[in-house]
Amino acid sequence: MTTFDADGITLEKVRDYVWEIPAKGGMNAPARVLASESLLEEIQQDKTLQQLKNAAHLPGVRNHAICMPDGHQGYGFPVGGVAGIDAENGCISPGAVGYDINCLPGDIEVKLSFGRRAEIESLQEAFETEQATVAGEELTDSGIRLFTESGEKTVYEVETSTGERIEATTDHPFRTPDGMVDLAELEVGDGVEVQPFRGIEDETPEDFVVLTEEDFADTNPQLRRVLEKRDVLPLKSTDETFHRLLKIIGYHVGDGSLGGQEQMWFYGEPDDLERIREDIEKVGFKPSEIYTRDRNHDVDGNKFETTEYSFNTSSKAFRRLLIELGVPDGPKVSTGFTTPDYFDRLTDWQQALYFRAYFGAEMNAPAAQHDKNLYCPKVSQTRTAGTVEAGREFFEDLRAFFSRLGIETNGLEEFETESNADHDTVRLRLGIKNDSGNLIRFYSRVGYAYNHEKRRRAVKAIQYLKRKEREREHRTRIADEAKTLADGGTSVEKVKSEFDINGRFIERSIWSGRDGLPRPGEDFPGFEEFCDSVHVGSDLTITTEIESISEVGEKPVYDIGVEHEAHNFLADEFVVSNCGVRMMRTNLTYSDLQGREEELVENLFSNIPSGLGGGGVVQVGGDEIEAILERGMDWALEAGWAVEDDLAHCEDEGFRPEANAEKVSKKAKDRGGNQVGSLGSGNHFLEVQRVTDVFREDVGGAFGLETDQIVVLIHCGSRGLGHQVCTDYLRDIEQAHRGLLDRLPNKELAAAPAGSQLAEDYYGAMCAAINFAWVNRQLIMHRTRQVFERVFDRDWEAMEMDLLYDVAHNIAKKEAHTVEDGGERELFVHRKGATRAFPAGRPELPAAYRDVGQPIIIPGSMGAGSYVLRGGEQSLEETFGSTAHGAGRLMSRTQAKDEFWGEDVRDDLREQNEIYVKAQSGATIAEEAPGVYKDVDEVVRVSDALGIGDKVARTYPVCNIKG
Amino acid sequence: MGYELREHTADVAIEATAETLGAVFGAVANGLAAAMCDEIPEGEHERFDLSVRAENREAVLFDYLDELIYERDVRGVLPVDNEASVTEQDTTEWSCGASARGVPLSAVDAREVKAVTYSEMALESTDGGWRAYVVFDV
Repeated sequence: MTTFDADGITLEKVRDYVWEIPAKGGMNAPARVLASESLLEEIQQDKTLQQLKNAAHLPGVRNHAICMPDGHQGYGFPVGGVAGIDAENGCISPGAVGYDINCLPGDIEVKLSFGRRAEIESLQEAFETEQATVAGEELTDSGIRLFTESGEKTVYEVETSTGERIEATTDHPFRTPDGMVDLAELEVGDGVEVQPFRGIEDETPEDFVVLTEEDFADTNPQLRRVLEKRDVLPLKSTDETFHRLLKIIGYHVGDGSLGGQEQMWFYGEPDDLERIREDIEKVGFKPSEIYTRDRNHDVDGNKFETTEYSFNTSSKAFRRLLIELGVPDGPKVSTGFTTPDYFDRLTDWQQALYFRAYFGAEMNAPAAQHDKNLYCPKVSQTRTAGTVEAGREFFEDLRAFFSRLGIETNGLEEFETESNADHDTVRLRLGIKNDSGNLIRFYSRVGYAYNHEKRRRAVKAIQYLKRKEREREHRTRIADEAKTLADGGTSVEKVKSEFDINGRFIERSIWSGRDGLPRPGEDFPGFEEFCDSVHVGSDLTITTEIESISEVGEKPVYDIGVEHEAHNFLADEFVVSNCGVRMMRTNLTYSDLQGREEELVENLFSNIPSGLGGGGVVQVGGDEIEAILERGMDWALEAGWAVEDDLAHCEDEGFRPEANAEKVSKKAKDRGGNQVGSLGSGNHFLEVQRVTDVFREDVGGAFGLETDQIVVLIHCGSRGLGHQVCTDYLRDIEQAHRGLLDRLPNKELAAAPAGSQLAEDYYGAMCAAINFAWVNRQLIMHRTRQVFERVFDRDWEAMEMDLLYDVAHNIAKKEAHTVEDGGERELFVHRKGATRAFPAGRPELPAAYRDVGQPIIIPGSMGAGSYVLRGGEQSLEETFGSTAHGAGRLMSRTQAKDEFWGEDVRDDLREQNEIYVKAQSGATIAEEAPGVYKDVDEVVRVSDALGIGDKVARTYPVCNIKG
Repeated sequence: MGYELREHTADVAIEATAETLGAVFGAVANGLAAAMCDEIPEGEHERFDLSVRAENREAVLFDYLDELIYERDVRGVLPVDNEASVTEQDTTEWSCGASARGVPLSAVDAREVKAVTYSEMALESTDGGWRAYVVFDV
């Protein structure tokens, strides 16, 4: 393999003119340099290659970070650099719903013991006594060791494909199938584990005494002593023991019985019984081991065997305690029990402890009623006719409880049942309405306690229902769009082809409509199928996918004592400004100009503002700046500075619709006000040129170029306004991602994560600055027309002074491109000192050039001339549709001033090259002397050979003005 | 002590040294003026004040230079004879109070420096005081 060693950076030759720096260290993609060996020799002389490598560290860089043949050192990204960065997840795509609790904004809810939830900031006062729920082997409670407020940090909202949302900082770790991963390292599409049970909002319970010694006055003193010793007498409503007891009695009401004089029996699955035993032990009593009994059943002649598991307690005191707390003292069917008498003084979360356990014992598990619909969860009780009123009361309390939580129930059903020997009985049944939203509320706020299988099914049900609702919303949107298209006159067949959904669905959406939300598609799995396909861990977590991560701004964040290491940060957009270049044709020939050069250059120089403090073609006020930023060339058209045809020949027709003037600071607008229509200085200039060569006649014809023709090239940008936008956002991003930015190789690579507010704001502001840049170049061009009218005493229309093309070469744009895996992705293509070079066929091109390819204007140095290229066939594959933007500097400005003297350069150019130069400053001429630039011919030769930008014509300067 | 213009392919770099932090800020600002204009005229031009606050030392230097460029464009003057004092309010806030003599741009032959950059920025204490290195976008 041929390699090129550039001061420690080794480039491998891929093929002619293509050199690759393999992805190493923190690089997220290999870097490529497109250059001949002689250009590579020049490129390696400054920090270009190091900067290119740095740029490849940006997360989401797709394919390669690329350096054009004219690349040279810039700040941050090299000039002549192109990077296509994933517009969706090339960003920081941290993500999803986590547990390990740290660095979360104050309004994030934390799960606490006993099924409560509370906003993290509310824990500040009480953290020492609080118990948070954590996921270990299974969900357990854990003390909070440390609570600190960590000041303002940038917070991201992570949303999953099942709709969980959480806000967190980038160093917040999330649990994933691969272990704990910091938010910063997660991306859209990654799996994260969530525990979709939310619980009930924490609320401070009324403090009252539930049981006192007096309640046990009829018992022997020993029993009271037993209870006192275990600290359950007196029992207060705020005691942890009370909360455990609520769960125990709730379960017992569902699936327990009294036995003998002393026993309490509990029935269930062994693992579930184990958890009840643990709670009983925590209250201070000793349960029996778990018994196994095989039971034979005979139901309507069907004989079968089941295994029954149970345990009991044999403490009289415990039994009496539970009865005092509301366990029926006798057969449930006939004791006339209701909810406990103190129930109405409890908070919802306390009542939920009782009901959840009762449901764990009694309520049916989530199951499919019919494929994609779930059964109503129901509970029932059988009561004797004489005690049915108490049963109704019980269910009335239950309905009220649900109602406060926003959970709807069906009416209470009553069935006459087979009466037993002793009395007539009635079966009461309450069901929860089974629409998705209602079931999600029920399963995620209340659900089941103790019964692990039901809890596991509930987690699956929540995720299934959320997914189903999203599917239905998605189909609703398609139905609406289809209807809108059809109403607008699009044929049904065309509409069908627009959407990846079955035709019948579209027809129905268009013709007959439907009541309510559409059903999920046929491919959408049934509930049982879904359950088989997902795994719920023993800690009740389930894996879901990150769907989006977006920045939500600075918020105070809180740490709850979890150690964490901050990791690297992913970033996406980096900051660029928006200069560009345009070329205007004329029907004049070089001979028309000869002898008039001096007059022309003087006229241009005095009429076209340049240099520092030179003002603009127009001075505009605040409203007009807004209009320029929002509307671009359309403003110029309205103000009489453009004709329709100018818009038609400009990139994007001179208007970026994403522009948002509100996102441009006042400071930037202040700077823009007196610079509308001004060249500025440095390498920006206006040049009258003659066409010396046309290399491709057909394309030259389509571009309206022929040998000896006079053209005008204008190279400048959005001026102080665009630079201020850059600076403002660079600082905003720096502040928003302080600490994280430190880990990128260079601060100038500051980037806002795609999808974040800052990225959106910056994109809106940058697009506004691009609109401004187009207006700027338009005003200069139109003023040039007026100068030509004066000098040549003819209408500009008569001189056919028409815009050939205007293209930015410092810009980030959202475009769709093919990436490594062959798929198409939306990318933020960053071209920093690189020109878009779309080949024929791309829909973005103006109609005039769609069949030949986009014109590319490559300004050269004063003595070397410029080139017009057209977008090459290979550009999409090689460079995200980009090529070079100029010659590229070789020499620093300071060195140039040492080596050249402005006046000498000017005189030499005039005498030897017949080039008339006029500048505000002699130093500018020295700094821009032909010798300080790379050989533009070589740059273009490489572009042409690679097929990324094909040579069409070459031009040579006649008059040049600059700042 | 003072400033020097340093080599940079596309842009202009200024290296400055001074005994105090404020003086090194002023020296960089004078370097910025020199990068824009070779011959700075003497004269009784009006001085103007400016002040910035930022979250750390480098940021306050960046913002100070950015503010000078902004003032240059909106006032139409070249800020010369810069004086600055820098104060650490607390660990997260630094302030810089400064003044400059504003030479009308019409009175000088000046070129535009477009923006300050963080590229290769250095601001460090040395045996003799402070050293700063700043690259400007031209």
